[in-house]
Amino acid sequence: MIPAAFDYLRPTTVEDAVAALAEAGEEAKVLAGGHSLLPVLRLRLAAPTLLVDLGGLPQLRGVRTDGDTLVLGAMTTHAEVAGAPVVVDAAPLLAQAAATIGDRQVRHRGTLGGSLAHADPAGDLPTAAVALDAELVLAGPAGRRTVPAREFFVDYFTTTLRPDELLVEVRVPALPGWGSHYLKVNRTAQAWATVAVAAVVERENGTITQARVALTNMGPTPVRAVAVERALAGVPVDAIEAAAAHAVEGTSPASDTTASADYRRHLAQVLARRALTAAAGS
Amino acid sequence: MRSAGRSLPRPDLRAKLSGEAVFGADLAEPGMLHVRLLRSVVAHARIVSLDLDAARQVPGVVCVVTAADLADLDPMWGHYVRDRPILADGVVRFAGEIVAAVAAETPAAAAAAVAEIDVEYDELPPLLDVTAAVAPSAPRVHSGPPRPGFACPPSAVFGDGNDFYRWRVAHTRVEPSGAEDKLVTVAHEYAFPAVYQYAMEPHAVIAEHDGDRIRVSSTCQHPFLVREELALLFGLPVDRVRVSVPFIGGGFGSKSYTKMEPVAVAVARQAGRPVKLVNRVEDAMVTTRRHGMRARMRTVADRDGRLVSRDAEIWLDTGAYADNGPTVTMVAGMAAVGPYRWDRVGVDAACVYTNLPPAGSYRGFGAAHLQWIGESQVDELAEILGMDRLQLRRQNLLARGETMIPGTRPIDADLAGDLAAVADRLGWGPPLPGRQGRGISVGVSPAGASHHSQARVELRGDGRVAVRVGTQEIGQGARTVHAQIAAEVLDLPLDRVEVVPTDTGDTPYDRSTGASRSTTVAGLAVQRASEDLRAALLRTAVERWGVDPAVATLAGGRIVAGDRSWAIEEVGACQGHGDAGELAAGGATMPLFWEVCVAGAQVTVDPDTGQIEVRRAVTAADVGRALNPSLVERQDEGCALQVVGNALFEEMRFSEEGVLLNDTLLDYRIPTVADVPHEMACVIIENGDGPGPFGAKGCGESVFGGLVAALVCAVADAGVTVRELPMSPDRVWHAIRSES
Ligand SMILES: Cc1cc2nc3c(=O)[nH]c(=O)nc-3n(C[C@H](O)[C@H](O)[C@H](O)COP(=O)(O)OP(=O)(O)OC[C@H]3O[C@@H](n4cnc5c(N)ncnc54)[C@H](O)[C@@H]3O)c2cc1C
Repeated sequence: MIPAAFDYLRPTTVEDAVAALAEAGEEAKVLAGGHSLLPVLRLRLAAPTLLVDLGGLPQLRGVRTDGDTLVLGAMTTHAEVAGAPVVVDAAPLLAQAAATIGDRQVRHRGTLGGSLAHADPAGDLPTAAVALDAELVLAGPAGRRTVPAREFFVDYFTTTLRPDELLVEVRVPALPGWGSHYLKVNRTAQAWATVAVAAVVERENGTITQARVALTNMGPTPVRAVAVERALAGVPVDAIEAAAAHAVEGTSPASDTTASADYRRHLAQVLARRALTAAAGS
Repeated sequence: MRSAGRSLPRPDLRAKLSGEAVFGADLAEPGMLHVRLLRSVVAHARIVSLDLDAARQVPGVVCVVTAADLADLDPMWGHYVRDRPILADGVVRFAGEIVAAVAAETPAAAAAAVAEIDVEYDELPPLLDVTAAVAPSAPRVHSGPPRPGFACPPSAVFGDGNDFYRWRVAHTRVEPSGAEDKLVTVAHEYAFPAVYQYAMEPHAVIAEHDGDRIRVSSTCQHPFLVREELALLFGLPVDRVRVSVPFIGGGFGSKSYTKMEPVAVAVARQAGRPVKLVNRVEDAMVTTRRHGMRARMRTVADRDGRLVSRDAEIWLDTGAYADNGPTVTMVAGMAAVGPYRWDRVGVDAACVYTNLPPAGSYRGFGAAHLQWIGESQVDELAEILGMDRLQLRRQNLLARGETMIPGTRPIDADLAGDLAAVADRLGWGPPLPGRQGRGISVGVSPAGASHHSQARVELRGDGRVAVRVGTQEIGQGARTVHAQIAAEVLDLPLDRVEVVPTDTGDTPYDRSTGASRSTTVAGLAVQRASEDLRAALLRTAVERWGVDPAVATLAGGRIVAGDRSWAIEEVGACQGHGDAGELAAGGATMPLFWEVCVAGAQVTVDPDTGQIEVRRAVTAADVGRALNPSLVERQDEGCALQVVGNALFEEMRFSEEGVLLNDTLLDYRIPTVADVPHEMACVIIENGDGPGPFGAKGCGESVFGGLVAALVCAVADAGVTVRELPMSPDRVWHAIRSES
């Protein structure tokens, strides 16, 4: 289908972008890579009257470190997240998750900020952000505020972003010495995750000291598998199998055209075991 | 041979790669309007009211057309069954049925007007499954007996229920003997999903109707049948209807027969101006699809490994309109038999109306539906008998000349040789360890459709040759192969031969582009036309220059007689005509040839996730003579990838109300390059035994029969029995869980 008519604005400062959003209210939408928004517009699931394109804000694009923190601009593309040496070095989980997204074309257009703001429960980067305890920096008319990833995702396609706010930056604390792994099963190559698991593990002499596990597509938002994490505090690596069985606790996967809920529950456990094993071994 | 038999590059390669090639959606006519359609959002309902006033007020709208505007016509169409109104008349029978059409100056205006149309439906209970549709108490999707369409075979017999067409074979070669305790039996139920052909390019039509003449440019595979149908529908003689065809961006059956042309012409008639109608993917998916199916099969062998009997019942869901459903049903029934020496066979295949979108042709139809079922039963019998699966097949396979189904052409290929070639390339051997498996399968499918193909080959003043043949270049390389055939006969370099796009106004008749017939049947017409031109050239040389007919020949664009020679263009414009008609001489036995469906596969199954990895796919292209070996291999590879989709994950999913759920590119996924089997091999077999030019026979569809079956058998060999496709991870995991 053809999207409904809209006005188009391409501001060059974050302030102008925020001001434009504040003025237009609920009628405006931010345009980043467009790879989630355009399908929404074409299917007429939304009909905003104004698109505010962030393409003219190079200041929102790129990756740097700030002490022990990796700082990624919201307009950084998936390809850049997957390939930037600083990301691969400081947050390999994020790079690995980004590399599983769609296909090459999608990874060169889609952005980190767009993926988080879109909050698709099947999205890979929201899960990685939650597993890494990332912090999201939001800019609004009243200035900036920082929201932990775990609080950012509220429901299907719903976040704490206000209509007049922009996601400008993602801050990821470095986890030196931790192992990590992102594992995804999809029905066809290049499709969204049926289920995916992000695992981050700290080890000491064959013992897991702490673990963080987050699940993709196992509920309306990324799910932290807290029962698994609890079962893994201070236990030997061979406790992973038993711990992974807790991966279904607190989840509410959907049955849809891709898979049934009971298959998803099963897969969460299998992938948790495999991802944790890989993370603990790496 | 200089041209035929070589992997020459496509003459149309450059145009396609550079974007110069013109496709349907690229076309425009001066003064052209844009059409958008209002489609039903419910699967079955009476239309209570249709309010068009607001739509007509939208600026730029020229007309809004509904069934009420077609009162002067008999608006029912369908080549096999005339069951389908151009625009819904009082009733909608599937979600997606066309209710109204708007023509406007811009696509946006047309879309805006469609959104303004107000329809009130009185919903009726929909039939969404063949089982429900054939229940004795089921309501009828269509009332009254089916009306045969213009291309309905005279032999077709219709019934009076939702199962309006049946194809049956009940044949006893010898009364099955042997004590019951010496027999082993397998019997199960199976299902195949509705899937979508997914040609890259959806349908596009430009239509013009100026009162007593219709002109259409359409992405159609069968322009001559479309011409005939439009003439019938709009009450004009055939020669007042002209259909031309641009390059086609793939079809796989989705563009066979008539599709979007009737509604486009109806709108053009009303508007009095040319109109353009371009389907989007969500439109194309409710325009045609592959039949979903349920089946029961029972196969019996004796303890010595002799296949004794087979019985099958098949129900194909053709949706709300028949389209090519009866043909699909016949071919499915034939595939159910399988190429073995049965004592007794009984197959009953039904074509069933439901309230789902209409289903028609899709590459390998019938064979794709049934071969995996029959072949997995052969595997199960081998398992029970403790026999090697390949050996069980070998000792029961029909030999060349034996008849599979009474009244059809005897087997015209070396099936045992094809099977051996694939087994060899696959590496048949002792069972693989762990969750790995191998499968191999053999079948045949009727091909060729009809012998009605003609061609004209023209020598132009510039010494170039134009081939006029009504076969469509749809990605398969028909123009390349037809040019190669002409170049071979006339001994010309390929770049001096051009295959001209079809315009029914001046292209000789060709029934259709499908049924793997383009090389074999249309190709034969091209060969004969080229020979006719060759003879004409030589005859002229004899008459004009007094050369000795015994020594005159063509070589490199010259007429050569001893040490004298003339450029062929010195003869002047000259034509040759060819007709494949005699192909059927000596008894009109159908099919024209059997397409051999032999393939093998090796897979690994992950028992924890249910994921299947295709390690190896081997296909046999038993083509008689490969006129372009590279094109043959590409046909098998492309088809193998479609099989991966059909067998492993594709599935059209409908809501409980009958509305298609995965109707976007994001939701309905097809294999991409990342889903390609680790290793693919196409074994070309050239026995020179085809009825086409130089002993060729068609290819391109067989992999759908062979490889779906080989994959199912390989997965079973890896320890997982699946009787419902696709073998999605979810379903495979459930199958594993229910076994343990
Ligand atoms: C074929 C295909 C396959 C895909 N496969 C995957 C996959 O496997 N895994 C996966 O995770 N994703 C997948 N995606 C989605 C892809 O990752 C998108 O790029 C991403 O979800 C959205 O990013 P975007 O930059 O394109 O955002 P847009 O589409 O431009 O925007 C998405 C939403 O976020 C809002 N938004 C964007 N940026 C900001 C911002 N800075 N501040 C506030 N709001 C903002 C927009 O208003 C909109 O509502 C796929 C997409 C396609 C088309």
